Amino acid sequence: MSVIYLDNNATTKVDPAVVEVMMPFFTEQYGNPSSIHRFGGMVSRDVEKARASVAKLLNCKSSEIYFTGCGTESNNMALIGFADMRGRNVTKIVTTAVEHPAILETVAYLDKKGAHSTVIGVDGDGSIDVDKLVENVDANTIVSVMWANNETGVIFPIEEIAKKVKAKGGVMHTDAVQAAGKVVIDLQQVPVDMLSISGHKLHAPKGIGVLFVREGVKLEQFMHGGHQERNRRAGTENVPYIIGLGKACELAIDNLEHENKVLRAMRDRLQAGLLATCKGAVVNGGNELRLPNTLNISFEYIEGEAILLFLDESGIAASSGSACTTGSLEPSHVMRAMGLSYVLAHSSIRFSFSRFSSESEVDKVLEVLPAIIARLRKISPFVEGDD
Amino acid sequence: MIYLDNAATTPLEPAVLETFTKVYESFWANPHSLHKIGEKAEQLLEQARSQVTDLLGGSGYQAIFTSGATESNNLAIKGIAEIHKARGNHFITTNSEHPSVDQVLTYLESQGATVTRLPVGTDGTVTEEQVERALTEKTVLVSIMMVNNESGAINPIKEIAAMMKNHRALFHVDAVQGVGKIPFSLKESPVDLLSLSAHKFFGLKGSGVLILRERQRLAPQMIGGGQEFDLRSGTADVPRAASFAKALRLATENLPAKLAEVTRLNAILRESITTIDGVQINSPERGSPYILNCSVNGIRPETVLHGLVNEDIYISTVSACSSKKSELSPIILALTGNEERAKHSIRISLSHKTTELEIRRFLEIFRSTILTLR
Repeated sequence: MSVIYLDNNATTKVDPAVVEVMMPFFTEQYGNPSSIHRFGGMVSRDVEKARASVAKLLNCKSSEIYFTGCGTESNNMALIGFADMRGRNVTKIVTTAVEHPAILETVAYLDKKGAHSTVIGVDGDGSIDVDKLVENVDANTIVSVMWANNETGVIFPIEEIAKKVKAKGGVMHTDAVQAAGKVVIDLQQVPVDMLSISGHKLHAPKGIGVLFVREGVKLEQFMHGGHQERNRRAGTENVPYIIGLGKACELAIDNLEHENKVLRAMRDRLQAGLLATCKGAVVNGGNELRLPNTLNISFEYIEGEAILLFLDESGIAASSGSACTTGSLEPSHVMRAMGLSYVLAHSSIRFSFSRFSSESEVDKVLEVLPAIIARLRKISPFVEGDD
Repeated sequence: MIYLDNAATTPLEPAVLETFTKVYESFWANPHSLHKIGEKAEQLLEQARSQVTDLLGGSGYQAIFTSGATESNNLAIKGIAEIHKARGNHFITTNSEHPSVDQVLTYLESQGATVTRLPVGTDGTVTEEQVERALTEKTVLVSIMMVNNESGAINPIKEIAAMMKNHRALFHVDAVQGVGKIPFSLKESPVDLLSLSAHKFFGLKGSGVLILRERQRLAPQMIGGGQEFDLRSGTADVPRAASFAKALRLATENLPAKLAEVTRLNAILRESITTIDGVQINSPERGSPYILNCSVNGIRPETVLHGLVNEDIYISTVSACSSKKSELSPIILALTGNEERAKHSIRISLSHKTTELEIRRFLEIFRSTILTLR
């Protein structure tokens, strides 16, 4: 059965072009880039080319790109690395209530270890009060705000936030895992100090991430060992994955503008179709600037899990909440932070598109989902007066 | 090309690449997603996990997938240190560990820990008696490598594990150069934590495992979604996990026969190298046959290496993990006590795929290169 995969914010399929460029590095050019002989040296040049491609996607210097083991590691490295450099007891961290667990759990951990954290809430549309966010920022503060939310797709005003944080002498980190490859990121324009990306959200493999660290920003080493990544990240370079990520970034650079339009059109058609045909449908974050590929929608009085199950039976993979809160059936922390009632938060579904999505897949969802909703509303104990 | 730098990294086994591409083609979903394709990926992940512990002959153990042995070592040592801080802050290791153990302990020292670095003997190893004497009530972890990456010296892991059975301290082993090359079973050597790296036995780079006992508490070092039993957050890379299991299975298959062949090749190397003027073998007689370290008097190791590269032969000076840093190998210094030898050491590292023809050709060129350079 071919699956209609609309869960691309959870993970994406590796692009065949990415697989292709990785292949020679598994079996032929397999040298260790840290070896001093030519066989390692050749590989090391390819690693540097990939680094340049990542830098080009973000419009920064190659020397500001550090490869890590995943997006979670990048986020940990940024926050823990900063806290350990400044001293955990003097570190202040400001973040939002809708961050990914890789940020929220790390902030909670550092808080327990002596740092002082502030978590800022969001309004019903999922947006933040920037002035409140930067209110108490000082030179020992790191502010971490995601570029775009993984569940709603809501894009935060990172440029404005970063400028305000910098003006107060703070350090600014952004988790751009969901944004990279989907919207333009220009680090010459946006003065963040650190930025995290994850390969598998942009058609590169899982298990490869990047932390951008602006020149001059100091971090304590997070992973100790060899001298790799200019002493910032120990461990033998994962050459094939790095090469794959470089290619994925090139593809993103080439396709971003076009995909933006195509995916937005698909998403908007799905959204309009569902709002027109499903009772009690509410778009979450719909009034804000959003990632073009993401639709988060709640269906009043219906359990999101039940909808997903029926969609899954119809060969459609979507999600509720985020895959990263493993196996959890708790309503999404993002929806709760947006002030959705427990019932509405429990009923949210996320559709997320990629370059491999098609209009016929939207047709299929529009064909099956309204019937699923009508059926579930019939058996819902909360619905009154439906006929 | 004659590749004799297998201790630095190995090519991917074609059968492992096949597993990798197949899984990436069909089971690429996020294993933590609730839909069917996510569930299938999760099943595969769990299958790979139990296969790894089965292959190591351990019941009551679990495998955590990591981004490599450096992460495994960081997680094991920092994770145990953090959880046992109240009980003690003393660590025992050797003076010849890989940087991913040594640097972690140096970092812990900077945070107030006490570290005893046992000196290795003339055979490059420490003894269980040395470890026993160093153990105190405050010792929380002993971290000792199975096979030294530069000399090939094999530490008495089984004996140390047996001696430590009744001590509260845990025993961590960096088995990166051992497992997949020399026979090992958790049943015989019931260590508490074991770090592995796939790219040293024809698996993927960026692919590590930390083995630990079920229910062993450990403070996670990467925090987030709570994957890998809450011990290591980050989306699991299922193709990588499946490839790890496959690579380990292939590596451990017919291991005694492979080991015997490498031992035979190593003997040829040794015998011939001892007859070259001014070349001294640093590797202990009874070490791992996969690694032969020697010093070429009076010639810079880089010069020897480049002479060989011109003939398309690849060996290494000190380990790739420190090769850009220092002129002298601290490991060879600890082993030989001789600075000159430590400055002039080179490493020849074999695999079960190395052939006698390659060894003979290498010896011929090695000999003539040294003669020319002299």
